[in-house]
Amino acid sequence: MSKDDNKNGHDPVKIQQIPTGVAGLDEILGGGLPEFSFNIIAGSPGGGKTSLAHQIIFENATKERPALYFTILGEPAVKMLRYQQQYSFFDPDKLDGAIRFVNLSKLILDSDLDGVLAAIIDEVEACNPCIVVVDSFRTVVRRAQATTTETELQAFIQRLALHLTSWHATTFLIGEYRDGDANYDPVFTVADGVIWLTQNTERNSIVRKMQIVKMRAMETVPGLHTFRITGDGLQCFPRTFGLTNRTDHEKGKRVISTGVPELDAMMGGGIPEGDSLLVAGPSGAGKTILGQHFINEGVRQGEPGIVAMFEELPAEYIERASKFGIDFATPQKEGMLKIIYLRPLDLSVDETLDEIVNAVREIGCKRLVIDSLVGFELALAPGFRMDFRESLYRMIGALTRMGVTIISTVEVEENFTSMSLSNFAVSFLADDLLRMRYVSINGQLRKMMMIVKMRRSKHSIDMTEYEITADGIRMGKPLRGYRGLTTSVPEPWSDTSGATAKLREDEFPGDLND
Amino acid sequence: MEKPSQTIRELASRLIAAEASAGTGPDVHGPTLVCEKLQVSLIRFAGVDAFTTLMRRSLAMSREEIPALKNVKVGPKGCVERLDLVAADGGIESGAAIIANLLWLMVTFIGEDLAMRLVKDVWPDLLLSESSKEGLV
Repeated sequence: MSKDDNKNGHDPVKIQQIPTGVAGLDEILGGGLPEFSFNIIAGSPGGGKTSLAHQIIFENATKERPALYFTILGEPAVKMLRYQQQYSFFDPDKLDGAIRFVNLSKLILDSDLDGVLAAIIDEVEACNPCIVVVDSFRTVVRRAQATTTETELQAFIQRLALHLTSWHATTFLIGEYRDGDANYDPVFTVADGVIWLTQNTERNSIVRKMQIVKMRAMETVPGLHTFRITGDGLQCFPRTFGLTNRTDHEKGKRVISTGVPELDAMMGGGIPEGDSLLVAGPSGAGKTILGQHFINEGVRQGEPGIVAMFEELPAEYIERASKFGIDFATPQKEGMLKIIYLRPLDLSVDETLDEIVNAVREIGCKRLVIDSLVGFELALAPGFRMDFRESLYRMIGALTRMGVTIISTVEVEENFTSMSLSNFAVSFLADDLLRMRYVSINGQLRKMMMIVKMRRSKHSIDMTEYEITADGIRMGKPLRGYRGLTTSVPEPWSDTSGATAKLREDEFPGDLND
Repeated sequence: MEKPSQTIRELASRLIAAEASAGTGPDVHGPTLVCEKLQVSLIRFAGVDAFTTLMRRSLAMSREEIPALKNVKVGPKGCVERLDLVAADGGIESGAAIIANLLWLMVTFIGEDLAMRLVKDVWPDLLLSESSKEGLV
């Protein structure tokens, strides 16, 4: 909370934040870890607790303000270091004074809590650390519970917290905890911060999530955030996509062209800038081509674009566009276009969306095509699919607020009794909705499109025929004189005199007279 | 690491001077009296453990500036022991350093407003210098 936010007008104590060194985590924490705070890193075995602590100490420790790492009956330091040095953040030079390991295993077995506290205090006073880690603190508690009362244990934790904070150390107690433990363990009451790591196995994939259960004085991002452990250590994917401090762009101040002038006209001039347009239609209807027109028009107008795709390789996509006279190879080389091919398999939706958001930032993207939402969802591990719509909603909301105009395509399974807008409850993601549809007329399978909704513009209510030609989409005329067009099997509309409407005869000669 | 500002150091010296001038007799030792008064106030506010820890920390920080403080100890309730035996200055300058560090720790952890309120509780008539009115940090 800033000074200006304080209603009483007093000058609150300034709490500095220290970086975690973990991509995305500072954003989740609301800027970083509060300096001198007393924290718990909790979770199940293999959850990444020790790796997180290491990442934080390697980020912050210096010879002048070292990190002190107490190991207690958990993973021995020698074994721990053997594995931790596989990470890219591991800097062996820091082991020469900046990071110090102290094993307290024997002391825990031989001594009481006062002895443990005294040993920790001695080490802390001797080396003046900026960070102290106790791994595993749960071992200390378990050992103590056998011989001391809960009150004595609480007093020990309070004295430990007090001393480490007074010594200007930011502390991390690592412990293997399960859901519900936090209700009964006094350490959770004393702690300023609780970072909870979980991992669940769902079918063939591992889903890792992090929650900041508590972090005093910080405006953290609530909820469960996906994280991944790679050779670079932990990487978090904040639910905000790193866009928390972005200023809102006023949507719809101007309209931008789709690259198909007749379609722009149907839309009242084009897509309002910063809108999300959902293009729904069956396979082969031209959804991808419409996206290509949109991106190509942006490049022509100097607006960088991104295509995020899941179903074909970038080379194939570029090749396909070239068949319609669209050159994507040049703008790609010039940095005006980025084509991201995503085959995430067991990646989370937030992780995938993070890649898109990073690309948006990198090239200053104004136009984004997601082709397609169905491919995107199918590419995700089953465990992440339940998050898909919610995450997509957050990302589209965040990007459009930045002024990025988005076209997402979605494949719709056709039937001949009704017209669904999408099989797939995603139409709420869209400000605007365009539906493409096959229609059977006189033994021909033709294509028509219609604007179903546009939040900010007056739009055509026509169902308009179109073709896919060597130049891409070519719009025809509105299909009039039929009833049941939305079923895909229309019939000529007859007036009371029995005359069949012939409005389209001049438009597509031969169509009605066959 | 940050150190106490000049304003905090001046405040510490003023507290010592106030105690020295108020006391009588050969045993009056300004820095020790200031520490004792802060001890009462801070223990009531934060407890014995907190005061003892802060005093140990401020002594450790002061030792970095004044190695002659190596024989000074913090007793079980946070009492500063043997401060008057510091050979170099009879514990006056070195005592001022300890008090300045203690005040600075208070400002760091609980903020300037609250730290100054605790000081004013003990020395209500103490007039702050012009510079300290503008802030201690």
